[in-house]
Amino acid sequence: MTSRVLIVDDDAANVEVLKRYLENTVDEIRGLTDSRQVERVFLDFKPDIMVLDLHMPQPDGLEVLRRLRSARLSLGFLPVIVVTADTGHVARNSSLILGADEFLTKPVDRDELVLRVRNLLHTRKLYLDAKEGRAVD
Amino acid sequence: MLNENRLELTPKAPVGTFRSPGRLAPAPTLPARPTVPGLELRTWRPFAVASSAAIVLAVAFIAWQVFRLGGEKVAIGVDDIGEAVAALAAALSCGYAATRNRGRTGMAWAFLAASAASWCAGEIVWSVYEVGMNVAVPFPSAADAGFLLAVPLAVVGVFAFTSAPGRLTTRGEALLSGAIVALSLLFVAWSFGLGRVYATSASTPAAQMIGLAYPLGDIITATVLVLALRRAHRTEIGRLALLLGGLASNSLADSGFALLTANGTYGAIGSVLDSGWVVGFFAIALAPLWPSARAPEARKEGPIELWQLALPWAAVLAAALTLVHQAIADQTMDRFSMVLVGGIGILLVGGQVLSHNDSLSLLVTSQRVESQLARRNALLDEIISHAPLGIARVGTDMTILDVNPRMAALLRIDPGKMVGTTVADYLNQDEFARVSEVFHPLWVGSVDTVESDSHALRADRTEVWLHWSATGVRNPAGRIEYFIAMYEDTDAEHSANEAAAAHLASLERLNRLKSEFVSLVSHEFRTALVGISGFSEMIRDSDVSVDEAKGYAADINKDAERLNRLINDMLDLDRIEAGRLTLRVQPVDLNALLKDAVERARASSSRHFIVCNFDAQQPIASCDPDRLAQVVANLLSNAIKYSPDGGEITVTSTVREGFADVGVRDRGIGIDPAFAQRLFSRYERYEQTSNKIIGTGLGLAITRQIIEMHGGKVWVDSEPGEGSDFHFTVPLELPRG
Repeated sequence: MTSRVLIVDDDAANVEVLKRYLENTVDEIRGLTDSRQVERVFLDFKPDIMVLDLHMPQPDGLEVLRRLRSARLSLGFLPVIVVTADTGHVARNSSLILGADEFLTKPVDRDELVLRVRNLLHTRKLYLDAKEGRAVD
Repeated sequence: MLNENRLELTPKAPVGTFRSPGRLAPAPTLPARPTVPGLELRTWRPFAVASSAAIVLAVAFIAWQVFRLGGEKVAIGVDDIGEAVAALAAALSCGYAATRNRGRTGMAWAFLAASAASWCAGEIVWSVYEVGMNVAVPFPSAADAGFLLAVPLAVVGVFAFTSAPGRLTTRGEALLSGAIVALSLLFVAWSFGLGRVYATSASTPAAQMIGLAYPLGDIITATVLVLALRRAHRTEIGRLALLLGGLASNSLADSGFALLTANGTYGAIGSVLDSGWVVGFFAIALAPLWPSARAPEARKEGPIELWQLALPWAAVLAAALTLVHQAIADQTMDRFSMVLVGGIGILLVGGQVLSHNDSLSLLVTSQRVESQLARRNALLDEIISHAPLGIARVGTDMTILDVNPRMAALLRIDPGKMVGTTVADYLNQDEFARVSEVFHPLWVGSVDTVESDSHALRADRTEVWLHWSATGVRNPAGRIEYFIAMYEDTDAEHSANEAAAAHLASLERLNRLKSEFVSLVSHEFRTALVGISGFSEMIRDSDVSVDEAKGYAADINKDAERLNRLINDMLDLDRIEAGRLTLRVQPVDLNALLKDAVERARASSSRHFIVCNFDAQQPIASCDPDRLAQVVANLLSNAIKYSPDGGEITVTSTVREGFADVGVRDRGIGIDPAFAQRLFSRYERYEQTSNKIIGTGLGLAITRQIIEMHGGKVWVDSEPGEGSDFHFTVPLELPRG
């Protein structure tokens, strides 16, 4: 199965760094700095996992989580990793409440990000396999 | 008179008066009045029971004596023993009262008890002769000693009730009155037979003296009666009347006895006359049982009533009438009578002199009291009119009766105009309702004073905080007549409190903004660090071409620049605020500076279209070019940041009144005008909940500081959704020579 990751961050340099971190882990990467387009890109690109910044001009990361909630539910298990420079517990808990699967703070640890993405992609694969009734390897 | 005490709150323009209910200026005191406390019983029951019994016994006694039941001997026995029993009852009753009262009063009752006991002893001796030994009682006998001793004892007793008069003249006046009464009565008695009795009596001189002692005792008793009644208090008339009635009854019986004995006609009629003693002693016995109508403090001084004053004159009048009668009847006066009349005349003259002295001293006293009162009133007036408190008399209907000048000054109104208005005129409706509520406990009487704070309306419609307290002034019946209220201006205190609260709120807000600032700064740092650590890591760990490495290095550099800018901003602001920043002011071509800044801004955003609209005059400003470039770059960066949809940004420059005016206008999200004032303060950022802009909020604070250091101004015209138009001014370079 091909794996696609969507990176949403208003800071272009950050998108670039995250892209580089994940280029050997996933098959396809799409970076997005304008969070207003996130719904359209989400439907268009059909990612398997999403890496999301919180503090962005409208809509911010929490609002993105809110807007994608129903789409994520309809797609089954679709993991979201929040990567933010906001280390506060309000940001962390709000993200988790709104359905984020992981919460990482900037500057992000490369290996941790890669491992978490890989694990979540594996879980997603198991979910999709189970859903399609295929035997698990 | 003196018992009206005027205290004018506004002495210059009297608009009303404080009338003291009499407490401030008591009437000149009269000599202490006699009081006759008995057993201080509160109910009528014991008296009713005892008096019923006494009436039944007295009636039975009289009936027995009239109808001579059981024969002459039994009747005489009942007569003698009945009298002894009545006297014993009086002795016991008064004796009991004596044990229940202390001091003078106890002594008075003791004397009365002794008098009754003495009489009782005499009667027992009499009975022993008449009933026991069945012989005629000799005259004089031991019995007479008992009877006669009873009179002075009774007189002393009645006198002991009267408290010592406070002034000599009054004591002298009492003695004089007593002497006048005594002489007058003696004259009347002498003229109507006592003289004849004395003259025609054939007894021994000793017997004559003793026989005469009875009517003389009676005259003394009558004198005492007159004097005591004269000084009696209304609430005690009942008890005193019993006491004096009893003594009078005894005297009457004495006189009758003396007359009849002297005439030798004492017999069956005399026996009936004896009931006078029985009735008399019963009355004396009942006196202590008379209930106290009021509490002891009700026994206050009061003026002597006219009839009481006139009592001695009644005796003199009787003497005068007797004299007239003698003249008409063509009787001659014996020598003793003449002495008596002369004595009465002398005493009357003495009385007049005393009375004159008395009224003179009263006048002096009253003048002294009056001047004291006037001085005190003047002092009170001074205090009230210069008091730092507003003082008002408020009627029970909340109408203002009177105010002092300070009160009127507090409410900025003429004192005269305040009178007749109501408290409601100076309060709003809700506050008036609340104040009425606060007054309630005063009405009920559960408290003496109420106090509160009210926001009052002045006559000029401004407002003032007043702390006030009110006290109810009651009339003697206990009903509230009016309130006295005092007011204190607590406006300053209130505004200080409000300012303190506002200051605290602003400190709390600043504190919150500071912690937000710290988290924002840390956010900015972390975001920049992502690039720096990420790209450098990749150069280190991956196989990258030189071109790729250069690209990464450029990114790293950009983030490092960002961190540098942030730190510089923070340090700049600190330096400026601490007054450590110095401007390097020089003539600057403002348009060139603006053009340069616009070029750089254009490079940073492709979505925005920046238009320059410069004054052709080429303004040469007097400023620090580096700092001004910083300001313009910041305004342009804001314009770009706050118009996320792109659009036109207009940069203008105009020259006006020695200043260059630079404007940066965007078509972005705009700012609520309410926030525009705070925009240039440290840490402030304009945020809408749905729209978070990343930044530290230092930019405009630095802008303002730099512009103000140049002597210019910075401001913004904006509407939400309409974009913002930022302007600043800097002074132009003065044209040289």
